[in-house]
Amino acid sequence: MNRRRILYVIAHSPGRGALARETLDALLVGAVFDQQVSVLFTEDGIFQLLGGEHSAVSIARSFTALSTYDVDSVYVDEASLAQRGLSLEALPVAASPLTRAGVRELLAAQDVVMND
Amino acid sequence: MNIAIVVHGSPSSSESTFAALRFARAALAGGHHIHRVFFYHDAVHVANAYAVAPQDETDITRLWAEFASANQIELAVCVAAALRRGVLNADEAERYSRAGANLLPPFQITGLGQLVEAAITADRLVTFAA
Repeated sequence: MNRRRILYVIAHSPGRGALARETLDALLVGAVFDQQVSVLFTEDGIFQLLGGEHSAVSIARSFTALSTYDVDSVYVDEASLAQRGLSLEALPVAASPLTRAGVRELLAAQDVVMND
Repeated sequence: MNIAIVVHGSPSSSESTFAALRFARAALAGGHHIHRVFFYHDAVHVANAYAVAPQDETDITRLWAEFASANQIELAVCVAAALRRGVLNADEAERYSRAGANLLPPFQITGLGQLVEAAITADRLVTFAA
């Protein structure tokens, strides 16, 4: 069976109770299935990378460890970053910035897109 | 086409369990196959047999169960999301010493691996977010 390109799109803020944690769990399970897994942080989903004390469980720490799992690429929508007054340097992970055109290309290249 | 459906929203605060059922019916009517319906996040509440719909409202739990039984569709409920929200089958109720089981058949408890398997196997994966 061919490896599928699966993209997880994280677009929601971390302040939604268990939902962010559950999305991370789905992503990590996806990563162990030996597929081509990547993650895109966009809109308020970018805040999931920053941590802070707004949620019971720090998922930011888990996201900074993505490279230790079998996640191939981590992308950030640079327009979403700019709209929130953030820069790539403020993020605790190595993420590739994408323009909106780049986001469209990324989405079009996937076999499956999973939303949070 | 072999279609997998993922549902995220609570039946009491989201349209997603209703929209997903309409989509599933239309898919079958269009000659497609439904690989599996996977309930995640707050959508696991739809499998709760103890929920009582008011008489003048749609009983979405019963509609899903009837649809699945009539068409042999797999209704998969994520175990971690279900435990967190108090939706348990008999095995889980015993394992965690809870007073009763409330998962309505043919909904069945499964793991996240079934979501990934669907993503890998189905021709299309269609998500009904909250």
